[in-house]
Amino acid sequence: MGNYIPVGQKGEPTVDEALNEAERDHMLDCPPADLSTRIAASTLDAILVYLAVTGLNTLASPLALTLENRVESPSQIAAVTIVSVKIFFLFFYFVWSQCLAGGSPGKLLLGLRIIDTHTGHYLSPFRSMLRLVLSPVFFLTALFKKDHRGGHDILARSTVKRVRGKA
Amino acid sequence: MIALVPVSAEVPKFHRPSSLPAIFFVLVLIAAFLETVPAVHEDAEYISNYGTQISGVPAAERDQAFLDYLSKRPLLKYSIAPASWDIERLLYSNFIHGSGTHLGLNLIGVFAGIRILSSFIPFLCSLSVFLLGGSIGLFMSTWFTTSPTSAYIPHVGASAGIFALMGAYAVYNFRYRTTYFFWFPSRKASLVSLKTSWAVFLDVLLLELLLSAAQFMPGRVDNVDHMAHVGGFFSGVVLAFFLRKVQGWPFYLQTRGEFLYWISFLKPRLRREKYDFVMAPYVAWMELLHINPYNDLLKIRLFRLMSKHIDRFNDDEITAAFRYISPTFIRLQEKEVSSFLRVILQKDRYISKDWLLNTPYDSIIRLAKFLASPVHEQHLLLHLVLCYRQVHAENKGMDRKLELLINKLQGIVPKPTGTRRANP
Repeated sequence: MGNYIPVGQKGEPTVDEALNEAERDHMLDCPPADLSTRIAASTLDAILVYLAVTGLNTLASPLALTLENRVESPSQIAAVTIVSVKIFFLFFYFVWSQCLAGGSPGKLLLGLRIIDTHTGHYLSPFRSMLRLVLSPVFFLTALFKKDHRGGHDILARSTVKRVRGKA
Repeated sequence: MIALVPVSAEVPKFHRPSSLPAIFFVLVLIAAFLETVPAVHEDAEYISNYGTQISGVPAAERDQAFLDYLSKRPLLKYSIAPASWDIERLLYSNFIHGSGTHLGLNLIGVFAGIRILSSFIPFLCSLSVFLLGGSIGLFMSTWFTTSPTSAYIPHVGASAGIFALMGAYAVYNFRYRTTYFFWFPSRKASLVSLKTSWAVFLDVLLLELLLSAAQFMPGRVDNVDHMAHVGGFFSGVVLAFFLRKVQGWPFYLQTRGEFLYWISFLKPRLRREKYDFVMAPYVAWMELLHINPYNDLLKIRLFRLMSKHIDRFNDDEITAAFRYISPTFIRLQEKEVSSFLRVILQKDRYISKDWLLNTPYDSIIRLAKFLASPVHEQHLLLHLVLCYRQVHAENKGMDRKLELLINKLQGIVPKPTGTRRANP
């Protein structure tokens, strides 16, 4: 018969889908992450990003030297290249990791996940970026809410959960 | 390394490192600093007087005069430079620091390095690694200094020795995890555990190699001797490998406690008794896991052995092994745990009730995902979830979640054939 499923109709759920849904249900039931752990995760992210950026900065001179005699204004091209690499790195570090694994490396290491408030899914790239852009502005508003959801969480319809723990 | 300070290998409390030898060595470094501070100040003053000392020298002879002047600087009585060194001053250079800040930063590294190594080797071995590795690192950095104007710049500091300690630690704890402190003022969230191999790769190999390579580029020279760091690190690695070879340290043992127990009790006993290739390793590894329940390598070996010869083990022995399957072990070694669990379920052996009770729901989901293939064995994951529900029947919230999951799975997964032994 083949695998064709008409538009608007859902096929039968697979075992993987059932287990993923169970995992999302579990994450929705997990407690919200406390503020100190969230700030610690941000601190850890800052350290890891700093280490990476320091390493990238050291590549600027060798790159400029390599481009010398091959292009005009090699140091400018090297600087633009390094800045572009840094931007891509920051995108992958904060946005792409959030979409794929539910959080930046700092959050993942401390057992936190950023999920959709209602469905438990990880965020889409647009909502991850929205949350990232708004978090420096609205982060402190999380102090005043019981569930520690700041303005950036409310606007991105997300919540940060602490997922590691006993049954 | 200052941003992420290694606190301890991830080991049980009674294996955690001792701070006393580290404190002692920190005091030694402080004493050495206080002793050499006058020489450092005298050297700084000597360098600042260079202009007045060679003002009368003709321009053509200035470069040579400058080098001759530098060759007589006071700090070279105690430290090495590319054009002036000997073994005695090479060893002393590890204890000299140019400023309070230099000393302060290195004290953090020395304290961390000596401390974390105490879980594996005695203090005298750590001290030897520091001295030998540090000296080799400093010597390598003078060897790679080719610029004539740097011929008489002293190479000082404990950082080469610190990286030697890190290199030795990397060898002893490479396959395990390290707990790091990242300067966050909170008891709950100031520590993070990382695989030692990743942290070593990122912090030492990638960053320090990049920075030391960059020092050969014009305009990228900084005051930090990155070449000495790299040299010290690799010296520490080589020294640690040599030490382990001499000790006869099996690769699957993590801490010094395990090694001493192995060498003093287990190895002689295994030689004396008739060697059963299944039960002898089982008993030995269970005893070692009793000493260090965090040793993942040993657990992997144990569960692989048991999977291969499951019929040789009774229910009590299997239950005893289940005690070592912690949520962290499940998270890090999903494949190994699920393979073992698959064999247990296939052979309809007993799954420990205590283990099911203490394992979080998300760990069971992780294992279930691995049991989802091949398709003809999916009934095993349903059986696992049913057993899990059985022991959590009194928890209404958990029971509701499990009921929903089981209803979904029962519609998809082929039913198991025959009757299965329920867990008591």
